[in-house]
Order: sequence, then C-alpha cells, then structure tokens
Amino acid sequence: MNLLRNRQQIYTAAGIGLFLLWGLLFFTTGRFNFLYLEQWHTLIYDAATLRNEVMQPGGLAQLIADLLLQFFCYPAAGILLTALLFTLLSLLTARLLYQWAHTLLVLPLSLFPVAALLFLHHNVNYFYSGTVALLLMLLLLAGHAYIRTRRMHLLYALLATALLYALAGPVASLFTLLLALQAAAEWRRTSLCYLLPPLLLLLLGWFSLRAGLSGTWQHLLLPDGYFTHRLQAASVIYLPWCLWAAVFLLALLSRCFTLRHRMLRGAVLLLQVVGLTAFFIDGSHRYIDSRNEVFKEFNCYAREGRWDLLRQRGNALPLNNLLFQNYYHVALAEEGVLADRLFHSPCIDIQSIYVQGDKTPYVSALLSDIYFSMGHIALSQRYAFEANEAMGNHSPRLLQRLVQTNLIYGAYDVAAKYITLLEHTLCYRQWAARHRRYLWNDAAVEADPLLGNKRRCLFPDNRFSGNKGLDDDLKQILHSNPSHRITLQYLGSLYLLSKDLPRFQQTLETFYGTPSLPEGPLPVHFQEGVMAFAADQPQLLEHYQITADVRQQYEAFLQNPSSGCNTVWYFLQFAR
Amino acid sequence: MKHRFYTWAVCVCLGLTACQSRIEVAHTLSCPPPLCPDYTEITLPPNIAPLHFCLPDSCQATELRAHFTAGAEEWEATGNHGEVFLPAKKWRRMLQGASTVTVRLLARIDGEWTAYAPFSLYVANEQVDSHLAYRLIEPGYETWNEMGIYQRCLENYEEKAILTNRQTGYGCMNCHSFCKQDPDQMLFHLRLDYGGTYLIDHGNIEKLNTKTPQTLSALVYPSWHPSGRYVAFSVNSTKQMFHTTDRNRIEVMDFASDVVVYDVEQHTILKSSLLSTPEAFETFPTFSPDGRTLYFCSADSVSMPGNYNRVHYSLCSIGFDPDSRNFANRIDTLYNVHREGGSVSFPRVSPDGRFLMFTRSHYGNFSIWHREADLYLADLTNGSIRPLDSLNSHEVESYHSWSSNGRWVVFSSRRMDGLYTRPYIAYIDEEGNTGKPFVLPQERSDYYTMLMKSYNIPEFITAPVTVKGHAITQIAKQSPGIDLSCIEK
Repeated sequence: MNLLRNRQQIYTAAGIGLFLLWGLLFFTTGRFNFLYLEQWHTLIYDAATLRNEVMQPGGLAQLIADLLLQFFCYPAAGILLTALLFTLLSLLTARLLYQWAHTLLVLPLSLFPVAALLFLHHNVNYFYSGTVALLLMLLLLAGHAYIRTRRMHLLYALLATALLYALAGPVASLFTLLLALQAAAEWRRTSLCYLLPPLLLLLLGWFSLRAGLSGTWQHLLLPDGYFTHRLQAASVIYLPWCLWAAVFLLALLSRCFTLRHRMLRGAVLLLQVVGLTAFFIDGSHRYIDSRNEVFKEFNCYAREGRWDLLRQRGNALPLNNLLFQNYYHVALAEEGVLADRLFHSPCIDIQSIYVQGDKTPYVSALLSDIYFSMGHIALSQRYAFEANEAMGNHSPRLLQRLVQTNLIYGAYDVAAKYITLLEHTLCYRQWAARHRRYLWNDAAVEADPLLGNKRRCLFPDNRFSGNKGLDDDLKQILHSNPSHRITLQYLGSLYLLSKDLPRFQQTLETFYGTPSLPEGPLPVHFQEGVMAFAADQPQLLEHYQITADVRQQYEAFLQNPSSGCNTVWYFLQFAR
Repeated sequence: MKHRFYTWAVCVCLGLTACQSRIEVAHTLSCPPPLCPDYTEITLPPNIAPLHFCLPDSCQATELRAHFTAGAEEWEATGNHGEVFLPAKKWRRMLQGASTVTVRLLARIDGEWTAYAPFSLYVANEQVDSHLAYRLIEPGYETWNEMGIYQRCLENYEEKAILTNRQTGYGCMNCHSFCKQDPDQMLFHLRLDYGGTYLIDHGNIEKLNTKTPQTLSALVYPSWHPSGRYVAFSVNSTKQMFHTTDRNRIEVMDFASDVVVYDVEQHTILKSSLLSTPEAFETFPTFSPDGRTLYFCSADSVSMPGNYNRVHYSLCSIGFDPDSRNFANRIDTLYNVHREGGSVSFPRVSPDGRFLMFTRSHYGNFSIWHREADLYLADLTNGSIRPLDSLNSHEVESYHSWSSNGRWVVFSSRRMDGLYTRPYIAYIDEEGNTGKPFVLPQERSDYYTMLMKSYNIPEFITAPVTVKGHAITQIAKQSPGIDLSCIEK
C-alpha cells in the first residue's frame, strides 16, 4: 500500500515538475505564440460544421485541438493547456519506455521527442491537432500493453490502427511502426503478423486517396498531414516522429545491456540530461525564430489595441524588418505621433509604413490593420477577407474585422451572417451579441466612436482602390472626413518616405488649417519636411510655424549631417 | 412487471401525443409566416428533397407545428430544433399525390399559440433533373484557399465532391460544363499546377493545353455543341479591381476577348475573324439546341480600365455549320444595347429552342458582382424580351442554366446576404411563365448562414458524374496534355 502510495506521489511530483518545466519553456520561448495561434481559428458550435470536421481522417484529433485552441484567447491559457498536453505526452512516453526497456535509466529519453514537438509549436503552419494525435497514439500504444494474449494483441493492433487513422490521421503510421519495432524486438515467427497493421494502413490510405480526401500519400500517412497542405513542410515536421521511433528503439536495445555499476548508471543519466539540454538549446536557435515571436507579440498588441505597449516594445527592439516597422508605425499612427517619430527608427521606403501584399495570411491580416487605421475601409475589408479565407474562414479576429467593415459600409445582411457565426463560438458570442444592435441601424453606427468615424471615411467619389495611387485615395478620405488625422499622418509620411517633396508641399497647402492638420506647429517630421523645401522662404516657415528648435537642428544638420540621423533631411540625403 | 412497465410507458407516450395535438390558438394572423428560407407560394418539382424551414429569431417562437394538407390527406410536422420538416417518405408521398399543398404554420410565442395565414406549395407535373453540379468557393477577391466542384442529389441532401483542389495541389478550378446536362460529357479547367482543360467523355479523360499562339489566352467560358463534337469558348484577358465606395465591391473586366470553337475530335480551335475582331470584346458563347446558331455577347472595345463602366455587351448570333465547321459571314444582333441599354451576359437557350435567358446589368460582363443584375427572357420566336420579375430580387441574379426538360431553371442569387451566392430553382412553363423560386433545400434551415462559400455555376445534370476525382488527378499529374492547333475559318 505504501509502495503504491509512493509511486502515486512520484508520478504526481514528476507530473507537476514536468508541467512547470514545459510551461516555463513555452513562456520563455514565446508567450505570445498561443495568443497568435488562436487568431487563426476558433471552434464554431454548429452541428453540421462539427460533423464535417469529425468525418475527416484525424477528425477527432482536430476537434479536440479546436476545443483547446478556442481558449487560447485568454492570456496564459495556451501555455497552461499545452504544457498539460506536453506533460501527458512526456509521462506516457516515459511509462512506455519503462515498459519496453524494464529500466528507469531510459526515462529522460522521453523528453527528447516532446522537446522537438515544442519547436514545431512555434511554427504557425503546424496543426495543433498533430500533438493531440500523438497523445491519442500513445494512449492506444499504452493500451496494447494491457492485452494479455498474443492473438488479441494482433487484433487490437489492427483495430487500433484503423481507429487511430480515422480519429487521429497520419499518426497511425508511427503507431504501426512502433508496434512493428516491438514485435521485432520480441522476435517470434508470429512477429511477421505485425506487418499487417502497416498494410492495413496502406489500404486505408489508398481508399482515402480514391475518395478524394487528399491528393498525396504524404498528407495521409506522414507528419506532413499536420502541416498546412498548401506549403511544403519543413524537415522539422519529421523530427518528433523520428525521435519517438528512435527513443523506443533505444529502449528496446537497452535490454541488451545491463549497467550494474552505480557510477555508470549515473553517467548515463547525466549524459541524457546534458544531451537533452544541448538538444533543446540548439533546437531553439535552429527552429524558433525570435523575429517571428516578436511579430506575434506585435500582432497581439495590435489586435487588442494596446498601442502604447506596442510602441514601448518597438522602442526597445531593433526594428530591422518591414513587418516590425509596419506594426510599430500603426501604433505611432494610432497614438497620433507617426509624423513626430517615424524617422526615429531606420526607414527603408514607403514599405516601412505599408508593406506590399504577398497573399500570405500574416501579411494580409497586417495590411487589414494598417488600412483600417488609415481609414481605407475597402482595402481593409479586402485583406481581412483574403486573410480569413486563407486561414480557413473561421479566424475570430478577422471575422470581427469583417463585421466592422460591413457595418461601416452598411452591408448589414452579410454583417449579420458573420455576427451569427461568432455567436456560435464560446469566446466571442458576447462581442457578437453587442454588435447586433448596429444591424440595420445607421444612427447607431454613426454614433459609435469607432464605426461612425470610419464610416465618415467612405468618400463619395468612387474609384478602384489604389488605381490612382494610394495617396489619392487617402486625400479623398481626408476630404470626406477631415477629422481622421491618422490618414493625414500616413499621407504626409508616405510622401516623405517616397522623397516626393512637391506633393508633400501640396498636401500641406491643401490640408493645413483643416481639422486634419489644424493651424499651429506641425508635427516634427512635417516641420523638417517644410525646412527641406522652404528653408530659404521665411514667409513659408512663418506660415507653417516652424519652431526655432527645428530651424537650429537644420542648421546643425547642414554643418554636420551625422548629427541629424533621426530626421527627414538625413533620410532624404542618405537613404537609398 | 416488465410487461406492465412497457404498457404504462406506451400509454404515457400516447397520452402525451394526444395532449400535444390539442392546440388552442390564441391569435390568428392574416399574413403568411416569415419563413427562413422563404418557401411560401413556391412551385416545386415532385422529386425535390423535403424543405426544412423555421421562423427567424425575431419571432421568438419556442415551438412550431405545421399542418400540411394535400387533397384529402393531412400531415403534421412538429418543430425539431426550432425547424419544421416532413420526413422524406411522407414528403414524397405528399408531393406525388397533389398539385397543391396547403401549409398552416402554428407558432408558440410567449406561451400562446399563433396561427399564421396558410400558404401554398404548388407541385409541378414535371420532374427536375436529379442532380445539380456547382463549384464551392469563397466570394473572394484575388486569392483562394480550398475549392471544389461538387454534385448534389436534389432528391435528398447528399453532396459529393467531383473534384476538389485538395487533390490537385490547391490550384484554381473553374468553368465546369456539361453537354446537354449529360454527366458523362463534361469539361472544366485547372489553373496553376496541372493547368489545362480536362474533357471527360464517357470515362475517357483528356488533358488539353489550350493556349495557342493565335489565341489571346487559354480557353475560358465554355458551351457545348449539342452533338458533343464541338465546344464554343471565349478567350479573355481579364483583370479584377476593387471599388472604394461603390455598392458593388469588385469589378472584373476584360481588356480583350474573342470567341472560338473547339473541335473535340480534331483537337483544333476554329477561329473566325467575325468573332475575334479587335474592335469588339466577344464573350459568353452558347449554342442553340439545333447546333446551327452560336449566340454570344459583344461590346465595342474601349480602353480599360478607365472606361470600365462604358462597356455594354449586346446579344448577338452567328450561323455555324457543324458538318463543314464553317461560320456564317453575318452577325445578327438580338439585343442591341445601343437601343435597349444595359449589358448582356450568360445567354442560355432553352432545350426546346424557344427561349433565351440572359443576365442584364448596367454595364460590363461579370454580373455576379453587379447588385443590379437581373434575369431576362427573350422569346426567340417573336423577338420579345422581358425581365423575369418573379425570379429577380434587389440583389444579384446572375448565372443560370436550364434543366434537360426545359421546365426548370437554376440561377445564382445573392438575395440572402448580398455576398454569398446561393442556387435558386424556379419553374418555367411552355409560355415562359415562371413560378416563385426557392433556394436549394438543405438538411438544416440555417445551412446557408453557416456556409462560408458561394455556389458558383450551378448546372443541372440528369444523373451523378461517375468519373472519379482520383482518375482525373492521375491524368492531371501524369499527362503532359494535348497541344491544340488553331485554324482560321
């Protein structure tokens, strides 16, 4: 009894320890990863949708993954739930390794494949269902150990293979491989029967292929099935599977050796721990791109409208790629300081404020945010739609954006459709219900500070978006809604970044003195822009109320250009 | 003891049923119920799947009950999950036994029963073709994700994929077309990976490389010759642009286009100088049922995209001799936009050759993005043209096709939400009179709300397509495709 209690305590302690370990690792490698993942998909509670999902091979794993993913919108929920999943994976693997090797020495090996899985979780193209599928596989593998008779072993193996393929998808391949390894290790003539489960799996794959469930074997039987099918999966997708096979093989091989000397046993354990640490550090550098994690962090701040946090974080980082710069500049624009701080980070060209679309969901979602800030609702809606489509149509964040844009346009019928969809979710139903009051209610939309302001950005003179240049669209927005100052900040910045001083001057002439650019001192970079084209025209400097500070800085820049590296003049002179 | 328990259980159930059927109506309304979807006063084919309908949430009905009366027979359906339908067997028996079914809907609102005014379902004598083929795709801008060509049995709710782009590397697939609603003679295009036109003739699959040096582009909008030997196509140089403030979101326009005819047996494209003039944009060809006339749309070519809203397509025709493969040397204009206004797209002739249905919008040819687009019917015997008011709505009506017996049309409409296209079926009699259309019935009344894809190019077929998607995929991946030649006629 005491022994049993001790074992339970050991398991509990190991479980808690592992849970804390995985939680800590997820927290340190990228705590915004799960918040970002949740944006891609949320579970729609609709019988037909769920039925369609479950009817696919791997449907149950997908459903469980979706059930978990929907909670990732809450801070830390993603880390906690995934750490729990990883703990279960580690404990189950350890238990199986012990059963196979009959020695405790192999237990640290169980952490290798799970660590490799951690790297995958930072890849947005990896499906969370792949991890759930592995858990289901290990559960069925553990169940195999409880079967006593050999004949039942084989029957179980066949049934479990079919069941696993139906419920969890390609992971059934790994299951059959591990069973075959075990059978080979305990070699008897009947071991050859363990070739039957892989053959059964091939048959099921063939039927799936014929039924049109996929176009390739690799999506049906290999880990590629848990990776965005439209992309070629990176080799890291194979790493956890290979490691699972490898550690089980090592466990079987370990039976051939008996380590009696305590020192030797200690050395083996130490070797595993050191190896694991080295593997994790090397893998983190190799497979987790810290820039992606920053991008996810920026993205999450932008989603929540926490512009101050985004700006502070941006200030602390080298903003050395366009995606970072775009997010940082949206934050500056939303805080009304884009024209004061734009050149404080190194700018490349106009792509520093709006990057070129590349049809990927990440960039499309970013562009939707930028255009929404600009007040260009048509393009914001376009990119939100395209990003949502690429994410599988159930991205809660983009559905929310589509609700907003359609309400702004007065397209109430389709807004109602998206609201209904969000009402069928767990975490967005209240948001959706709150937005119902805007349907077919122009007065409510116009009175809303956000929707009303953006609706006023819709200009009457229709044209094709960007056909006359984005700048022309922005001018129309300003004519339609002069109080939408963000648009003017973007417009002026766009001209400065494209080094188009004549049009910058024209913009000032048009909008100076309007609500979008009230009389008084201009934003700092706009003052610098004025100095760049009117340094020798005192009346213009007076008209635009260029401050003494800016004039002095300009003089200093002329004497020593390196003194003004955060200025428009420096950009105009030195940026390529 | 056990026996007694079962007896009691049966009695209790019967008692409950009896109680349920006794309803005291507190309010009687003079208006028909606001059904979702709207199935009131529609004309149905006798072989259509049961209709599922409900009341909108705004009615706050907690329970529904519908009484169906067909001749001397009566059926009652109770609300299941807030929606009403008759089981398939009863439904079929009801439709086959009557020409008119009267439905009286009762709704329990605030604990009291309200009776709506009865409405009728009119049952036509003529059946509709058993299947409908369509593409499911998001009403997207420039990108796409998953799409596929599907077939749906109209007599039940079974939907099967003919081919999805999961099987073909996620490329675009489009423009599926059948010869006289025959599922054994079809074609469609794949773009990007495995690009080509796939022509399926009774199980034989051909992959065609349809871009030739003499034609503008690969083959685009198809229409089969009734003999199955030819297919008329347009070749188009198309671009898509996005409105900022217009009530239509997107504009798709041709910068150039021609019409050609493809000879299936000779693998040859037949080109006529009359159908590929630089002065005109020719598109949307369709053959008459006798195969001797080719209808198409034609507009004066203008500089694009600046004049996108000044492109108006007339409805034209040209003679075609299938034996000699020659075109006539004269083009007739059936609908002259310079006189009548608007712009014509998707001409489709009825199987008896009497009527031609087309879509009319204010300008351009991509009417699915034109909210003003409506269906019109031309009587080819006397040249009269009229709008099909009972089919049209305040939203888009665009693509349409005829059933094999000519008594039913299916058309795409965005009347539900203004964006997602849904297939509507309508009865049309020998004189061109139409019944009120109904949306393709689904197993759940909120099916279309939850569906995030549009129904694109709904086409009736007389039976299911039997060729396997896997077989098409094999050809797509393994065959280099047949290069076509082009002959000027």
